Amino acid sequence: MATPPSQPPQVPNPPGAAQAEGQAATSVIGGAEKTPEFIDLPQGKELNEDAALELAKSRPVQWIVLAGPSDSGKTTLLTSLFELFQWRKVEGYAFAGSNTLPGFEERCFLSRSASGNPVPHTSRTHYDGPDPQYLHLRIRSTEGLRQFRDLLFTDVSGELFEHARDSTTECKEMIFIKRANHFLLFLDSAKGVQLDKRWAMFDDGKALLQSCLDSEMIGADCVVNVVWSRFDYFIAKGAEEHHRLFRIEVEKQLRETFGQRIPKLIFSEIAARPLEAPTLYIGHGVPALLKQWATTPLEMKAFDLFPASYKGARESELFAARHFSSTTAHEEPNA
Amino acid sequence: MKNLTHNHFLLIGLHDTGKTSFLAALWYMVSQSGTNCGLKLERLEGDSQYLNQIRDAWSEYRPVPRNKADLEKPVSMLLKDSATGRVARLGFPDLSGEAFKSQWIHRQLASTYDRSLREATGGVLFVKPGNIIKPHRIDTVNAVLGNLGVNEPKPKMKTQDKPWDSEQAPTQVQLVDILQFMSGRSYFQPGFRLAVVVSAWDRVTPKDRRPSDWIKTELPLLKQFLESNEDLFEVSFYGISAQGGRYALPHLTSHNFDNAKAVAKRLCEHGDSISAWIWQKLEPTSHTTLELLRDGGQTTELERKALAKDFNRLMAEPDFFDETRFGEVELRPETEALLRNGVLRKNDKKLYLTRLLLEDAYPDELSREREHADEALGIQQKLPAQRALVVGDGVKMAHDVTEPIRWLMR
Repeated sequence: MATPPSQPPQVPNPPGAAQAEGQAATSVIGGAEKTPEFIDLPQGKELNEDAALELAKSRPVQWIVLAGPSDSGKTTLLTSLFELFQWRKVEGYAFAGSNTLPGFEERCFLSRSASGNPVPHTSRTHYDGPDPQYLHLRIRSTEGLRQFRDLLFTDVSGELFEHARDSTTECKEMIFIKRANHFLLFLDSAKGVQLDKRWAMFDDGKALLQSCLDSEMIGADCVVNVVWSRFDYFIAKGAEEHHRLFRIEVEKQLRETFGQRIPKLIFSEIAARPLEAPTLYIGHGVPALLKQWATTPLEMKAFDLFPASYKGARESELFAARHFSSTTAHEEPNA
Repeated sequence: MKNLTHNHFLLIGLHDTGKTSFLAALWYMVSQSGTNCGLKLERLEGDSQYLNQIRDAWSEYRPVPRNKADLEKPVSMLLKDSATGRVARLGFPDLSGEAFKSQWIHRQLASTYDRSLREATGGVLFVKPGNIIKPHRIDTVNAVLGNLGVNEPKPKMKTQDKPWDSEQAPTQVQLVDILQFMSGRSYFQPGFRLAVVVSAWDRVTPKDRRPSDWIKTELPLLKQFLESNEDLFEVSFYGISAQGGRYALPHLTSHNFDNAKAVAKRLCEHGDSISAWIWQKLEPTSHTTLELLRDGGQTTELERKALAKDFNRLMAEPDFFDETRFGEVELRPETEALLRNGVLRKNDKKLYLTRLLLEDAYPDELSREREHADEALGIQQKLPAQRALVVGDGVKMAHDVTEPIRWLMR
């Protein structure tokens, strides 16, 4: 699959800030300018690396990396978050825009009645590494100073993380991980309830985290959130104590192994589409994650966003460059 | 302060959201003397033919003709506020909604629309109840069906996936993206005034609902977006019924065949030339339904609906009327008058005539009942200037469709 074309920032900028136009405004024919019938607009499917960086230059963003094997619920988490906003505000945050509305919509389609499917599901994200695709969401607090927060989510296939798990060399090529403010490691509860699969599932997750740490892709300021995805599988098995003990043991082992190296290690449970436990609401646990992303102070990574050679021309870029350099003066430049 | 004469507003919205009906009512109100209307026409720039056509339809209380190809030449109205003397230009670059659809689906902005937008300081955004695509999830729909006791067991397996159809994306998502494109243009000025109009407001229940509450409930993502971006868009909400109620359309409905033994008998026997022509043109499923009706058998609502639909298709056919075929039929004076006036050649009126012809051909057999006839009669009896209904915070005159534009001009 070809890398999608770069897209300029589209979501409303703060008043007064410069914005990029659509592509191809005019052509010159015979010395005279001819206005085309149509102006191309951003495709909005997803942002590639360049487009994501371009957005991050114009405003502070939270980089959120969703990591885990195929079919562990990474994309479903994103679609359920978007679906929640389609019906209401979430945890005191309102939807404020997105540069990737078609991208969200396309991913939501197979869980909508319009798809004609009898049961909801999510299309699988295909491998297209090493650079990720991003989905963008802008939210605004409904209280206090009503601050905006821009979230950039990776949407990459599980295969990509399998490579990273097995090789620190491969892992080091995944620069986007280093940029993460939040690193979500998905542990699939559907496998967690299967006695013959759960420890292998855990070992794979642990190995991925180990590889990312050993290759120095996860920094001390990154929040590492171990997410029990598809938690409805555990809820459905509620009466079986050994499942609870398994989770306790997993969390204990992860704390013991990585607690020293990951200052911000937390655990969450989500059931984005709780088909196994209908008593849970759609997007169970997702609002809590959103609140976490929205309330965590932004730790800028200027060395990733602005290489030494970068010279932003727009006022917003210059402002952002000044802002980032002042807030990240303690960090070492990326050689 | 903005130059008063440089206020330029646009009518914007997706396909079939009430823009044309609103424009018809507006054109009537601002161009007539003696109407209780806050704005008056200073002058029209461009051709008034289409505006007059939709105004006539509106004042005669029949559906305004859709303009599929859109106005070939730009037309705009210069409107003057009688109270303040302020003048504004109202443009309507895309009545069909195609340019807006193209932004979402084809990711292209028409240059003509872009030029209009460049000059605009505000706009009227239309949404229409009953014409909204909602983000219904399969699991919630299944749960609702389950609660209603109509849920059939669903196989827990994946079926062949249909590709994503962007046209089926929720209305609120499409509208948000259109507003994002608008605010993303380099010339866009924050503080853009947006009058959000919920059209066909007469269909909204309960009657005391506020338009802003309706948007919050029915299009929550759009409402959140507008609230979050209050610096970019200054918004006011209106509910407008430009026509005041529902039309009594000439189409046949299933109810016209509730007691249809007599008409079914004539059609099944097809002993006269009109019945023979109709029988030959009808679908085989309609034959079956008519035979059931003739024999006094039970027919379902679905079958009668399909039969009505088949008849409506026939009524629109170019050769429905034939002098020889209708030679033996005694026509009512109003039918003859419409025939004389060449209504058969007028697409927006033709069905009214063919319905009369059908009734004349089956005077004792076919029900003459028209859907919403009482409601339509009540509206028709009002003066045109009293038909429209306008609600919203700050609305002063409940029949004045210029209220949103006056808010934009304030």
